[in-house]
Amino acid sequence: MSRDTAPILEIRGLKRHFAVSRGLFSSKTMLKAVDGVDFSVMPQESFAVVGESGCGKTTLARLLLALDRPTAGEVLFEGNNIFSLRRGALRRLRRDMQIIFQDPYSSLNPRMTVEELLMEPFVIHGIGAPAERRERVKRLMDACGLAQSKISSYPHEFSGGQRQRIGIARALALNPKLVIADEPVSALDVSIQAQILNLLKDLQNEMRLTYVFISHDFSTVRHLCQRIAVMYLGRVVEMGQTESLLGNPQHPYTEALLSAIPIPDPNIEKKRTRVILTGDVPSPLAPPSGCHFHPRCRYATEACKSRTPELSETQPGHWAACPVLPFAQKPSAAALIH
Amino acid sequence: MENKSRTAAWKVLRRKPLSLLGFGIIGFFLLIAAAAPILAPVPANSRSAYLIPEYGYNPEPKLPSVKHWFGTTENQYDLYYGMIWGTRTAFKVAVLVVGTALLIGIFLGSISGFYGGWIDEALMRFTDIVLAFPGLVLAVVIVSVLGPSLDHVMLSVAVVWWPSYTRLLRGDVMAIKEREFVLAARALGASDARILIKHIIPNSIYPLLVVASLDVGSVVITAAALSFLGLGAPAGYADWGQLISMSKDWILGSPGNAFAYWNTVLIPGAAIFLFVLGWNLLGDGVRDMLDPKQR
Repeated sequence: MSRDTAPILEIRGLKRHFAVSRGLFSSKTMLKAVDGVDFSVMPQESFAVVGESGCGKTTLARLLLALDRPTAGEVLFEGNNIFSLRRGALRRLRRDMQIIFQDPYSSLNPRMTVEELLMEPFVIHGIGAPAERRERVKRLMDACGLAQSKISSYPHEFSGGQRQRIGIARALALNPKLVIADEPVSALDVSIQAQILNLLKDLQNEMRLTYVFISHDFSTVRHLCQRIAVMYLGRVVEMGQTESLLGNPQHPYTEALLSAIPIPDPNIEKKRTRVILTGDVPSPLAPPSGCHFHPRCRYATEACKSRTPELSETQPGHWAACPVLPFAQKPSAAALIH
Repeated sequence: MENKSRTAAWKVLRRKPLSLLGFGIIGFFLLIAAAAPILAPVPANSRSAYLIPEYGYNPEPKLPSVKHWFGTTENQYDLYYGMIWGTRTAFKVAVLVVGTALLIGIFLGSISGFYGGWIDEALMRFTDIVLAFPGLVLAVVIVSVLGPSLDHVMLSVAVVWWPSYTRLLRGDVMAIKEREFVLAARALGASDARILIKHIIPNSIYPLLVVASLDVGSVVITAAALSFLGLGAPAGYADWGQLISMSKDWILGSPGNAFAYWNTVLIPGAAIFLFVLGWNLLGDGVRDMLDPKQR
């Protein structure tokens, strides 16, 4: 992977606020689902966005595909701001950027057969004659591990894993460059998760795909992604190379998340330090002042309540929005992650 | 493909004897309607096939006889002829009224639910206005203004009927458009029209189709009611509603013999009853056939 090429995807100051009405007589509150996110993704890279539910991951995914309009900021795909494109240009662009959804039960139209589902991308973009489309549908099914005998079946006749394969085949039908995977395996059985992750990995090598992987789970992204960004209440709190971020977290939130991953080895599990997060994720309608994480942070100082930390480079290529942790006395990284 | 879905539909139906009965009843009426010129040949001097031949001017109905299989109504209209050709009228009313109401309902309901905002607001308030009138009264007013005729009866019933379809579809469209597969289609670059026609309507129209097929009966009854009130077809036109209307003075029979003129009430009444029942059963069958999870 060459680092010197231009990024395929660049996100600058992206914000999406929703006006939420809390009753007839109270004024509207802003829900800041995505509140100033910047990062860029290199061609053929796998970039992960990790965070708890409610941190704005899914809103971010929709913004990246221009399925929603941002309050502020821009998303550059190969240098063009996708929000300033005209309808036709955006439609053409959709061939290059696709999405795999979390729930394979709701992301497939229940009244279309597999063939119709997989044919649709070609129909929408007017690609190929009917015979050629059929041929490509068959090849897609092969590539995604779907039996061709099932071509006339409806989605409800498939298991969750197979449905997700259909969703993946549909997303990849047009040979996209960028694929946003919004929790592609979290709705599946653990035994199926590995199969789907391997499929995604193989397809990436074959088709030179770039992935933005959205997940709440480090263990699903660590083997697939080169870089990880951690989100908390609409902001990126830490971003870096996978090894660096997992081995030496620079933000207390990442540290706590990592320590929550169970390690299937009782000896290590016994010895390591657990960082237990207290309290729930605060309501995004009324996020804490200053650093959003300070009420749950064991390193928090008085200053954290008023000062909003900016992302800064603590090590080469490793960014964190915490002025305290990198200098604090930390439990050894090895004890956090095996 | 086409063949496969047809055999699948048959498989579903085979398990539902009542739906099959519904299809049987409607099929039976269809046959009658199609074979009307053979079953009840049009008299040579008739101006229109739908005009029931009249055999005399005696107001008292007559019981079935060899010459008049179902007897005659008041003023000696041949009941058998009226029933046979009335089947055609019943189908015409049912299909045209429900079809028109469905087309309007699908068009306005899907646009209203899909786009929301002021379009939705405007369409729904207009729907409310129409719904605010009692249906039959509104239909009576419309026919009275336009003048009594069968065409105006059909038009007025359709005008009364579309708002409930619009509302029903709008609600389902609003629910379906939030589903992830709609977002998936948008991510693929599908146009609004394609999303509506290929993704949203096929997934939201079935409750509407079921209601519509169940409604066919009510539509026929409403049209019959307007005919009964004298707003429909001209006297002597082959229309079940009008045949019932002609029997209204004879329902109680003659003194001491309540069933003296049973044929004038029972025969058109039974036909309307069977026709409505058939559509209701067929409506259930339609629902089962259209649900892919039943296959």
